Amino acid sequence: MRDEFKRYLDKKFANYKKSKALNEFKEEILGDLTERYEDFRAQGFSEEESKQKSLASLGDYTEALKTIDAHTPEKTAAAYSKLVVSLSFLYYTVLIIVFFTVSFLTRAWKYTWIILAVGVAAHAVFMFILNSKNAFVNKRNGKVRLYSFMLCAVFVLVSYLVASFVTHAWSYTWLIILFGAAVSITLDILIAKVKNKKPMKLRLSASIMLWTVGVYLTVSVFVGSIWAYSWLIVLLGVALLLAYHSVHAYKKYGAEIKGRDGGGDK
Amino acid sequence: MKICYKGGMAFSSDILRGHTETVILKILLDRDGYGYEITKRILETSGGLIDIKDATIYTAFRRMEIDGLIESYWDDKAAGARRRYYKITGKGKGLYAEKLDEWIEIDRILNALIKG
Repeated sequence: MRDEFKRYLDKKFANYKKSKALNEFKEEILGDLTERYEDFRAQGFSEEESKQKSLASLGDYTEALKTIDAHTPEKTAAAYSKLVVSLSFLYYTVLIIVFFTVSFLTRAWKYTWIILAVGVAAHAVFMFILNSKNAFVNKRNGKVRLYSFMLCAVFVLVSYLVASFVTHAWSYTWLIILFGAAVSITLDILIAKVKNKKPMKLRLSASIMLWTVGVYLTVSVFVGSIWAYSWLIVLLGVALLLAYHSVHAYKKYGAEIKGRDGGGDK
Repeated sequence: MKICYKGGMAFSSDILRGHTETVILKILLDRDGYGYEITKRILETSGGLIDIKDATIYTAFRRMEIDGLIESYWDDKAAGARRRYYKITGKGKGLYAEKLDEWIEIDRILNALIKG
């Protein structure tokens, strides 16, 4: 009978957002239903009668569900997922900075890539452990973001290594990593767009900065003679960034201010 | 709403309205319990007259847990099916004491008004 009640509850709750709290609530109801059923059986009621009486005793639990939804599960899971993704971004930023610093200081490009390889692998293992602990229950969006991000990281690392070992042009190939980072952040913004979510300001700024610095360094490295002027590209990038933030701020607060003025005219 | 008739008098779970939380606090004060068990204890204590819906209990549990009056924990002792138990917190005990004083006062006033 427990299985039958379980199927009944699964069907009843099918339209609700899946979450740990909801599963626990179902388990709680299931335990009570089953025990009540057994009590009815012990009192001499038939199987069908006991089942109907047990289900009738449930009552209207939509109020209880509302508190579950507003309380813990989805929000904490979403916040947790966001935190993990943000920390991953930070981790990769630090990793790339460390890699470039060590590489430019030691000039040992043939060995420093190991920093990246170990860094990416460590992140992948960490994510695997988190995932196996079900930290991302229901957070498919978070998963898509992380997996695409990790795929990007591995792809960039492999292309960097292949390009470097084939061409031996270590003094140019490191640009791949910079562009890889730019592409992965841009991809992340696109995923957020597809999911109809507003991209975070931080991510957009980071991608604009990365593209700018990438173009700047590429131009400078390949056309050595214009080092003296190519810094203008960075200036352009910063200007673009400022323009973006100004427009964003205007959109956000401008309408609000206008609305307030309009209200004052009445 | 289930209404029980006994000796010509009608009782419903309605008479608990406003007092469900206090009743649950009183029951948990004696010992920890789970949903169905609390429904049974209310039924027994009321002489079989108040058969409260499970949903009413669950709703009260959620609200009381958010308010910090009770805490829940899972008990795995029973083979196969685990149970979610609730226990009263210090805050819950404090509120119960307040509600008890309040009830004694209401009881006194209503007795005076109704019995005369």
